Amino acid sequence: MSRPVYLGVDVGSVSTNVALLDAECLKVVEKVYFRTQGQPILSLQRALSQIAGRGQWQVLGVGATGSARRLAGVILGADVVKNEITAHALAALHVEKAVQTIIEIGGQDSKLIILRNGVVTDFAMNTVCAAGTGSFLDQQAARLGIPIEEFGEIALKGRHPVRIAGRCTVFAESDMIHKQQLGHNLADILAGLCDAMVRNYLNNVGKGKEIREKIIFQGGVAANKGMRKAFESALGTEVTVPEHYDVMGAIGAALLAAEHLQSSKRTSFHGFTITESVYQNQSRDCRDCPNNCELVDIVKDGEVIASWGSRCGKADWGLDQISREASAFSAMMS
Amino acid sequence: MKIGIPRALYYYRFYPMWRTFFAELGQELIVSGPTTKEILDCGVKAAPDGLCLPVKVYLGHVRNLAAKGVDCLFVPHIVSVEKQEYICPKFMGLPDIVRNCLDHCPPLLSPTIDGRKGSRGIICSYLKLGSCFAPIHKVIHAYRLAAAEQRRCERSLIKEHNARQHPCTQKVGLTIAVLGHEYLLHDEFVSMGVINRLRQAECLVLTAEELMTDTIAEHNRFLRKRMYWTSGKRILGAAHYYSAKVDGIVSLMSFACGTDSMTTDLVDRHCRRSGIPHLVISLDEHTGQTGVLTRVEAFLDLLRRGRKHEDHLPPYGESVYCD
Repeated sequence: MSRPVYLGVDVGSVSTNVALLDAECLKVVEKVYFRTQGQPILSLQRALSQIAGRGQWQVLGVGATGSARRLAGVILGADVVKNEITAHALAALHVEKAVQTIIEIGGQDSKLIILRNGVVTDFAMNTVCAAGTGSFLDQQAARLGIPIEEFGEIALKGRHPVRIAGRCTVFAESDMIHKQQLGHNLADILAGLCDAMVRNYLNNVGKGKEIREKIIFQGGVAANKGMRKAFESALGTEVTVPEHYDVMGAIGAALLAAEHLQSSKRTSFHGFTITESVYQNQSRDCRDCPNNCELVDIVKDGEVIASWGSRCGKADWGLDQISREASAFSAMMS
Repeated sequence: MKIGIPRALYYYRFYPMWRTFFAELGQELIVSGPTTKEILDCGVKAAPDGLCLPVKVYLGHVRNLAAKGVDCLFVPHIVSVEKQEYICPKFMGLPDIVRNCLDHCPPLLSPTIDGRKGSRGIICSYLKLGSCFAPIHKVIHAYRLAAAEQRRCERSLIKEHNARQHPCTQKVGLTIAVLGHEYLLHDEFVSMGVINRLRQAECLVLTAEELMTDTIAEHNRFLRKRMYWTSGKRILGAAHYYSAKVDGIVSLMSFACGTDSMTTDLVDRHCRRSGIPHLVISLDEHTGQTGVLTRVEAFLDLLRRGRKHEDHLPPYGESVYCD
């Protein structure tokens, strides 16, 4: 017998995450964490086929989030397409009702979400540059020749973290190389790097925000124990990393789908068969005005199913997801 | 004579006046088209690195006009437009920036407009400018009409604002004040259409231009020292006025803007004190819109979900912040 579930998908710049929630208790049944590696569609298909292979599922609703949420939404036939902030906040609230602060550090962006009494009251994201995010840690780990998975463990062993400039990752890198050439050991350098990133995060993203307990740290970087420790010592309080920290966005998307489908209707999910379809997207330039918008056609098995990228909106279609977002809004209002 | 006016910076504030003034003097006006990627690229190429985005956009428009074959360009050297106030120092140097950054630049019409000591300074500079084209009695007439047209346009914005019912009484949709320099807000390309996106999401959008000068002045009284940047004064005053009347405030600022770095922070502090949700969007040369969209969308979620949870009462009242 197939088990009723909600499917949540978070296609981010670095990772593609899928979570299945039990339709009854909304607990995580299955989850997959995949590296996007620049191919959001392919990684989404792979992640889905893995999930599909793990059991018999009856999908009641689908939610998509992450920076490729529109793409994922079209491919999946998602019921809800939502931004990452709302998704992360919902997921954290689901795990811990009393949460007042969410620190989320992903591959390309970092966020801080402030909640009071279970409602988001403020949020911040890193501004124009991607300094202090997971991809920087990735790069530095690769440069030092250590797997990213071991980064945190080694950083924890650092007794005397060296001071590394944290304002900009380019500065941080040159400072780090300098310290390394002076002969500081690896553990101290990595611990210093964590401290610098936390300092950078709190000064930029956390500027002027009131960070209160209970604090939840999620996103891919939460796997790094060194980062958690650095946050704890900088904030002087305990920082919780939830069990499914790496797929919280996907959990949030599934929760949104559950919320959306409570009132109504059948899901518009295209089914797991989409993993067998072939997607060949095409880019083209619109030449109708000097904006020269870059358009993308989403092609499924030789047929264009959606298209977007124009500023004026005339070339955008197949995006009833957007109107679904709007109706989700109005549903919330009523 | 064909006079070119770049569709950037103070075009967004004084165009009604300029249009009338030059038309009355029998001159042909050519305004550059709305900002496009091409214009932005052009401006970015021409500008030195340290300039802010709006000035780069301005340079792009100037180049666009130069290619259209105008006889001269109207690039005023504006020092001050209101008594005892200044505008951004970069604008004061605008004619020099244009001359130095662009090769083959058409001749510039760059009168010094300095109203620091009152409106007399402004009137004199327009009269002086106009006397290049027509006898003085005609210029005086043209200036009167131009100033009247400017006032009429400003008033009609205020009237429209008052005609809408008191924002708080509106149950459907959100009321959001969008604050920032007019040349950012109303440039559809640079602002990534934030205002229109909010309108599409059924929000009532209010801006600082809809408020009377007196209202702004009154709501700036709390400052210990006068804000002497005209644009900053308007933004801050509007933030104070609107904070009691709207669901949320969105600030648009351009990266590396000197005056914004201060006013936006003051607005942020005020919002935090009064418990009004505040979203700051900094704009730069990015053309990808996802970042802006995500933030706007999340901000609307914050406001709407907050309303839902608190039974249509704002979730950000004092009590929320008390332990």
